[in-house]
Amino acid sequence: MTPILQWLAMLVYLIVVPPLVIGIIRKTKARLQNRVGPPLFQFLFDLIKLCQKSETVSDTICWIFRSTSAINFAIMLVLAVLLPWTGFKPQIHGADLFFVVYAFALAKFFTILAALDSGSSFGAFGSSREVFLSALVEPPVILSLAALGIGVQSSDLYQAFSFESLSMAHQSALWGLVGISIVMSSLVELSRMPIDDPTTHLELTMVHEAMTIENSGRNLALTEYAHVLRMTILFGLTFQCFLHAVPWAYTAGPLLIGVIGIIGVLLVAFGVGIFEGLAVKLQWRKNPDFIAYSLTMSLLACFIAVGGGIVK
Amino acid sequence: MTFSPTEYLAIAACLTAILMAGASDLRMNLTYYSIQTFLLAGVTAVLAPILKEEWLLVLAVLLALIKGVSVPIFLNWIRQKIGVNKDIGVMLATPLSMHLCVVLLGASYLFTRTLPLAPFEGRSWPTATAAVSLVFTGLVIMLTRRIALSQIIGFLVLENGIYLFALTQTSGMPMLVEMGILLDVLAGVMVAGLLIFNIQKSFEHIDVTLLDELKD
Amino acid sequence: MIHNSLVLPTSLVAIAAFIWAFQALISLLSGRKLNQIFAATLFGIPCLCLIVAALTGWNHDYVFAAPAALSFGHILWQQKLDSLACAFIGLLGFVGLAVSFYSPGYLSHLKDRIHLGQYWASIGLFMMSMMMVVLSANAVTFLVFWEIMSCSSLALVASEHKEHEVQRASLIYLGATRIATAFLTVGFLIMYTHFHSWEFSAWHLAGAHNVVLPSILILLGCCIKAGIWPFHVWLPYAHPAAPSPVSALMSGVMIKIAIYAIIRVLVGNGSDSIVVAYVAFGLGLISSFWGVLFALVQHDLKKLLAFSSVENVGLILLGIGVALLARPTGHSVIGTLALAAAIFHALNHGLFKALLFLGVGALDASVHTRDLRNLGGLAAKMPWTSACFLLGSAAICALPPLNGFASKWMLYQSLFRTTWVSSLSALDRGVALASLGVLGLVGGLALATFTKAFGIAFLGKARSRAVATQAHEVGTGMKLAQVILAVSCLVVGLAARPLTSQLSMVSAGLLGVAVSHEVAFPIPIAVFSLSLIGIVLIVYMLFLSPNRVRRHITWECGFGEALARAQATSISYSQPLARIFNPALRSELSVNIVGSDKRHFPEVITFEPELGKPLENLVYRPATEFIQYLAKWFNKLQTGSVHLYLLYVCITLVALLFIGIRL
Repeated sequence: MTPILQWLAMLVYLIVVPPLVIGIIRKTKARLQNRVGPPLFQFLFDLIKLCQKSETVSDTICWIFRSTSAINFAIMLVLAVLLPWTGFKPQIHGADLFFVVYAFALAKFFTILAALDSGSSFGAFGSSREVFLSALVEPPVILSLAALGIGVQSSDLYQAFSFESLSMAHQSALWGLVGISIVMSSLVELSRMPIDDPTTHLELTMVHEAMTIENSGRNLALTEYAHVLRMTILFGLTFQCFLHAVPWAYTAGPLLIGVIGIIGVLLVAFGVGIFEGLAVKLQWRKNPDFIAYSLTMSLLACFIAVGGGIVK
Repeated sequence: MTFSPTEYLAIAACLTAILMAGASDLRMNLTYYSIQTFLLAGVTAVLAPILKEEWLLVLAVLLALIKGVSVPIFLNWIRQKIGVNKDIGVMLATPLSMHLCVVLLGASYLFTRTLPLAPFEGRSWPTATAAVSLVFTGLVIMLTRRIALSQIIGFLVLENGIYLFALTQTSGMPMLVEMGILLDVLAGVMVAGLLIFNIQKSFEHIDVTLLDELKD
Repeated sequence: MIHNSLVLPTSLVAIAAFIWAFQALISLLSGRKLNQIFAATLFGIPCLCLIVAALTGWNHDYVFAAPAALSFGHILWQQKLDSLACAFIGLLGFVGLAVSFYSPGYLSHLKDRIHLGQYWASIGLFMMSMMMVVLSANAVTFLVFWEIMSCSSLALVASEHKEHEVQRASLIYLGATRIATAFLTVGFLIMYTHFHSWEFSAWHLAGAHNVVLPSILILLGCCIKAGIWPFHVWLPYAHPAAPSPVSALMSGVMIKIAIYAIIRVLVGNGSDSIVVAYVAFGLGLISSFWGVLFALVQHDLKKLLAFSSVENVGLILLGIGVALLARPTGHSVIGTLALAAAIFHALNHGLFKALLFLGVGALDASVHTRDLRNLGGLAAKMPWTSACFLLGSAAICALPPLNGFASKWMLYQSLFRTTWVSSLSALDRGVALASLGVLGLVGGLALATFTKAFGIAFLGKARSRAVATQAHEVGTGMKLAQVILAVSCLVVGLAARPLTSQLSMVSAGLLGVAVSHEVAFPIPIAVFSLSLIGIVLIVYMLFLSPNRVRRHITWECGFGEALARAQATSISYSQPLARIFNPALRSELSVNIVGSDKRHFPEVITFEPELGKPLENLVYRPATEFIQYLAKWFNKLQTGSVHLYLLYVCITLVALLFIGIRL
């Protein structure tokens, strides 16, 4: 595909896919609960409505609050272009493993400070829980991506996820374990079920909603879009891991892989929707146990990555 | 790394044991145990045509029925009678014991590399690793749980590991020995279950850490 | 290239030394009537000289010795200036420059509590001795100036000597430095008996026998001074007790001097002992985790920063450990990368830790408290300080595009590369992977710590009336110092690629291997930051700014404006994480209820969370009590009776005669 077409496709994806992802999750959950549920593109309509509203800000804030949504949006946009979450080859190569992890951390840094900025206790609770979850989920994320990197002897994620790195072609167990670890870590980082129910707004349990409680209008629109974009990227990476576990994918053409990639993101969203409809929210004290399972998966993936080299 | 079906089943059994170490719910533990036993029955069944011993198929069916179905059902009945559901660990938090089992999986891998294994179908280092790791996991479960029922489950996992090691590293033990072991396990579990029931009636709990009040 | 003549860098260094010595003398003589601006200028000019010397002396090797009249007995006073020393004196000069801008403003707030003449004299001597330690080429010069450095820093720590806390802190610091110097001295003496030379370059440790013991002693001595676990207990006492510019210098530079000593003596001389490498690796890993964990639960900002220094110096030692392990096994790329990461992180940490300490000092000067339980809402009243502190916090959390990310990336990369090498044993690769996981956790905990520090101190509303009314922005000098350091963090982060290649040449030279172009910083940081800033500006200007904004109070469920004390406190912010790591932290809650009936009619409830300090209470306190017990026992020998003393002398004489005859 020519570069212009690729950029155009990316633009279309970024407008269409994130609302679809969250729409599918909500629709699936609704159908499981025997409701009709919101339309699939309701998120887009919500964003448009929010952009037309005026903003109310607390008088305790400083410049951090007003600029965080823009910073978050910018970081997620850059990461969406860099990371190989669709099947397409990204035009810009810079998706180093540690850079990606710390770019996500930069977004979290500003989100947390914006929540603390208004001096509200809701924001502080949300920030404290978010920082707790992200500190505990960093080892699984780094270790699972590192397991992939060992296979290609590079910390470049594009090389790890590329379909031309044939050293990773038949490592189904490795890709499967990494996929499971990444999807569990994403659920924790995005604070979805079973860590936190995003539909209840109880101050004792909110994580992401607590941090955005003071946002309104265009600020809220940008923040929500950045959050859903992050969700899409992480689900896309998960599907890529499971796709790589199938050896057939290494022989398919790039166009087919691209199309399957996008369908796959929506499939993962569907799966997450079913899981959210059936799962029960864990007690906050039990959250580390859930994260421990993710760490176990990534430890097993590392074990396979290191052990496999010795076997060969 | 590509494995034969035997090796896949053995490694899957080992992974269910590790997941069992991280589950503090007793019903989940029993479910994982029965999945594990079914996988080991599968290993036995797959090895039957390879080792050319037809009675292994019978053994597989018996294993699935006795250790895979009736033992978990019996222990579940005991659990319902006693009324315990959860087992918080002692000494180590449950997730940490799961990580310890993963580390011990790595250690058992390093250990089995040093064993002299003759190349024989089914007799390979993945199954040996899985077997030794099952033994270690059973030991960890026995060491880090406080409900007496979990100690039994840990012992059963240990026994699974020994069975797997004997099955895959030798050409299987004689039929009579295997049947005898099965019967012993069944009888032992029943006796242990009934004893636990009696302990619960006398002491109102089956927390083994509190049993040291028995000493004078 | 080795020159033995006075060229520009060496003459600048000599001028700097003379001006500092002169400044110390003048300060001592003027006493309290010293003009602050004059003293600061005298202090700042040598710093400028050092910066220029570092830049011009890069990639050259100079050896110079003082005239024979100034030597220590028959041991020459030798100095050596090579690229590694240039890096460290560059750091010293830059941080010193910031401190010289900062000090007059800060000291005007402290005027009554410290003796200004003593302060400036000590700080002049401190800087001069640090510079001389870095430039020392032989062990005796090193030890002489190391001692001057310890004593002058002790005088600086004890500046506010009327406070009980400060007295206690200075005694603990004194004990730590004595033990460190003792270890170093014994290590150097054993090396001398082995190699028959005091010069560092003559100690060829590669392949030598019996050098493990002195290497370990030197490593431990430097670890005590650097604040590595388990010797770090003096850091959280000494750094908060000192005035802020001194804390910045101590935490930013002095700790790195100890690391420099390890690099110079052990790594530069080719130490290939596995024991030393594993000890360095293990202690570094434990320090990084322990430091950040304890930093998370502090409510005194300076103690938080002190523990965070323990974490970062642990990371630096981890890098050195990997380099020491990589060299004997022949993995030169990993070793070069790890050593370059260690040196780079040492420089970066100097910059951003000094920035953070100066920020806390500005806070202290403005509202006279450092306790997070009283602070809040300072971003509106102190915009410059808060912006610089934000940059410092982002740098220490290793967020791109700042300098902390670059050095941490290199450290991660060196550990990651260790896992690729299939010829290493599975145990080594597994340990490297495990340390990757631990470093990830440390990074997450550092994010928690510094969002807490910045968020609670600067954002929200002030938690005490005093802070709300007294907060004001600090003077120009203090602002300028912080801005210089903040801008340098940003510049070093953006210029990571050329800096990394320079440092990799230095580390390759130290390890004695060829430079490889695999050791590079491949991430397009400048492109990333430019695109990020571009998108942010476009979005902000076009999308967010034109929107109408209405100001109202923070949402409080309709109950009306909430009390400032109802905001989250530092303890509540860190509670979820602290609860998980409680077995290490051992935090206890002491509750005291006063009232006629404690349960039904309480009048005053005081509750104070405390950290049970396991290392102090289980190791150091029993050790010091044991020593005191021994001392008391020996006290019995001193009865005060003249006859008994004469008897002691006689017995000793007879014993010596006896030994002399027998030998």
